[in-house]
Amino acid sequence: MILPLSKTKSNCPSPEELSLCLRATAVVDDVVQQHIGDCQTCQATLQAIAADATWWDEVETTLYTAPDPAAERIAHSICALSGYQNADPADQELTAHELSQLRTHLQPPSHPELLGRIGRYELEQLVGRGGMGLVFRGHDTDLHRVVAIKTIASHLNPRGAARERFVREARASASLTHPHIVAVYDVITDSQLPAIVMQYIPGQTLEQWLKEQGPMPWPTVLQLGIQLADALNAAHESGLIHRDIKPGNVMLEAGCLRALIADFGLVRALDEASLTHTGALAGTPDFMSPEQARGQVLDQRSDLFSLGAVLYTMLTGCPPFHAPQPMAVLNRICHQRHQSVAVVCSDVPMQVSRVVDKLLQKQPRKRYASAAEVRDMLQQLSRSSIHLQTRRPMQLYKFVGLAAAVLAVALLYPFASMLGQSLGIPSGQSNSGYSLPGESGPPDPAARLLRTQRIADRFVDLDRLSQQLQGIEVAVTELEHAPAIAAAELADRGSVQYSISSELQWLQSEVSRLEMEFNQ
Amino acid sequence: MAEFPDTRISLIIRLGEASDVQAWQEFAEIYAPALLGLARRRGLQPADAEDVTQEILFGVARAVQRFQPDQNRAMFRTWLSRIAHNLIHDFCEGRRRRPAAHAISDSWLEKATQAGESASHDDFDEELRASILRLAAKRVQERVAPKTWNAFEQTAIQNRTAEWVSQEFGMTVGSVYVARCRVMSMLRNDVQQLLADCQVTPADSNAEEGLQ
Repeated sequence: MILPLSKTKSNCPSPEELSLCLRATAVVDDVVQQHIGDCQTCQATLQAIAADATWWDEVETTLYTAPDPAAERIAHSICALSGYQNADPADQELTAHELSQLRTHLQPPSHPELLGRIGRYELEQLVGRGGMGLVFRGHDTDLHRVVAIKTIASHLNPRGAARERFVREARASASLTHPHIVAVYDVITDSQLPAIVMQYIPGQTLEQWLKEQGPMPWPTVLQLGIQLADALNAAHESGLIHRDIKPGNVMLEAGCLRALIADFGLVRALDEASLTHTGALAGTPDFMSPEQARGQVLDQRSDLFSLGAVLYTMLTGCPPFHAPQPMAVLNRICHQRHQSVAVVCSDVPMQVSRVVDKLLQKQPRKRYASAAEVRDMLQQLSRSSIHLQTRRPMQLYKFVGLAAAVLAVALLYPFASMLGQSLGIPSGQSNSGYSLPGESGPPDPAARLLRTQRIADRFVDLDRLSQQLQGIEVAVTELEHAPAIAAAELADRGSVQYSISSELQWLQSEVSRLEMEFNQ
Repeated sequence: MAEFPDTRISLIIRLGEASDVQAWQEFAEIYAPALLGLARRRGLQPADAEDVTQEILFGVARAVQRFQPDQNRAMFRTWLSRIAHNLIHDFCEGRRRRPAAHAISDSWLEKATQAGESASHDDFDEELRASILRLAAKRVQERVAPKTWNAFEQTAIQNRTAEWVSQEFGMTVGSVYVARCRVMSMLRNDVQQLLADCQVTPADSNAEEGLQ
């Protein structure tokens, strides 16, 4: 709108006219503008209409100092956290927002069917998404090969010294060559949209596979586990820790016979390079080690814990510490023992379950010492797989259960008869020709009560002993590699087993004596 | 040039829906600088202030789904302010130096919201106002022509005269005045909207209508 200059006594526009000038879309007449430039009264009025003096002061003092750059870093890390939660990794359609982002950051494609270009790489199709950003299948126009291109969300784009650190880490990871590690070809940090170029694996991630097919048969898990442990070993030997082993970072080649680990050290390097330190990028905490959840210094044994969690998930279909809330997951990882695989899936052999148990030990020193050791153990199990048993170790409990049932019968009989006596109802035994309680005089009920009390106490002992035995079983499994100590634990187990069997014998004899007495 | 896309829906209610990326962004943009400022005001070193801010926001981001925003938004601010006071106090006492990952234990929220010594919310409000003002400035800057913003920035923040700006940037003195006042007016509107969303009392409620 054009604001006409209305003549007032002093030639000044009215306050109403001046306030119209402040509308965001108003076009101010040149004459009015000229007048404002010359007339101090109108300048003051305009300024007062816009905001009073306190506002002008506040704006000046607040905006004069530059914002703390730390605030922006923190804000980004929080957004990354929420951003991860809403992206479905399997959704292979680009959202309108993502498309517009890509269009602004990518060079135009050489063919209209393609999405765009980064340097010498053409982006063809979205194949997945992760904590870092989007993953595309692409084409290397120089070497004429298919590649996977992982773009890094712009807010995670590392800058300055952090970028150098990230590039260094990426180079280290590019130096890894192993049949079960996805090769890194190139790292692009000079583009508007930084990206990592890597080997393209036709197939799907272990995460997608498990989601669609459920748990894997344990012999397959052993095979893939050997490959993963071998890949980890190669990386650990070159001093690289993955720090984010999870099913989403394991690629399964079509046919599910070959597994490859992706993103060695990259996710965490990026997380640190973008100074978030929150682990927000890692996405799900389901596969974090306790030391990772606590933010402690990590070594290669942290990867072994994560490997254990991945093997557990492959065998059972569900992560070992799963809970609906991420914070509950971390709490479980740090404080709760998982349920053994053999307890969840009775068809998985004890020996296999024990390897996973040992990998999932809360304390790093109680896990295997190296990935090589895990690989050898899995290989050994795989070779002897036809001999593996699926027997549960705690058959003792069945005995205890049986004994308890017998005792319950023994305890109930005298009380039933006493009750019958006091109410004048003939008890079952009286009908079967045995003497009535009142006639021949059974042993003193008080003494009998005392004895049953003692039997009940001994049952508590038995329970304690069997718990002790279970503890020793666990210890023995853990100590497999320290034969001398294991021998001592085994000896303990022998003595506890002896105590249990003598305890059981005593209970059985007492129970049968009670029965005898009652039937007299 | 829509002035306010959907700010009518409470920010905090929208946070509960994890898919609302815009709400999360706004949340982080407002509260990260405010908490950081509060922590610095209490004498924490920059690195410690960053740690504690991260811990608070990380914990709150994860707990916000559990927060019942059925009463009013002022409660959210009080709630957050209490968490901030408690954790910053703990930090000052040197009782812990821990990574943000601690904010994810179940007991975190419980401990963080325990009523400590009665803390005034005034300085948190001041920090909130400042960060809201910054956010509003950022948004207004995106909406106006660079020249318009420049006229505002040079005169209102950098303390230059309108004459200097007019010579330096080839504008008439009158257009410098109009531009600077127009930006201020937009800024005031944005700030009042955001303040209403966060339920912070404006410093001067009479400023609402200006001097007319």
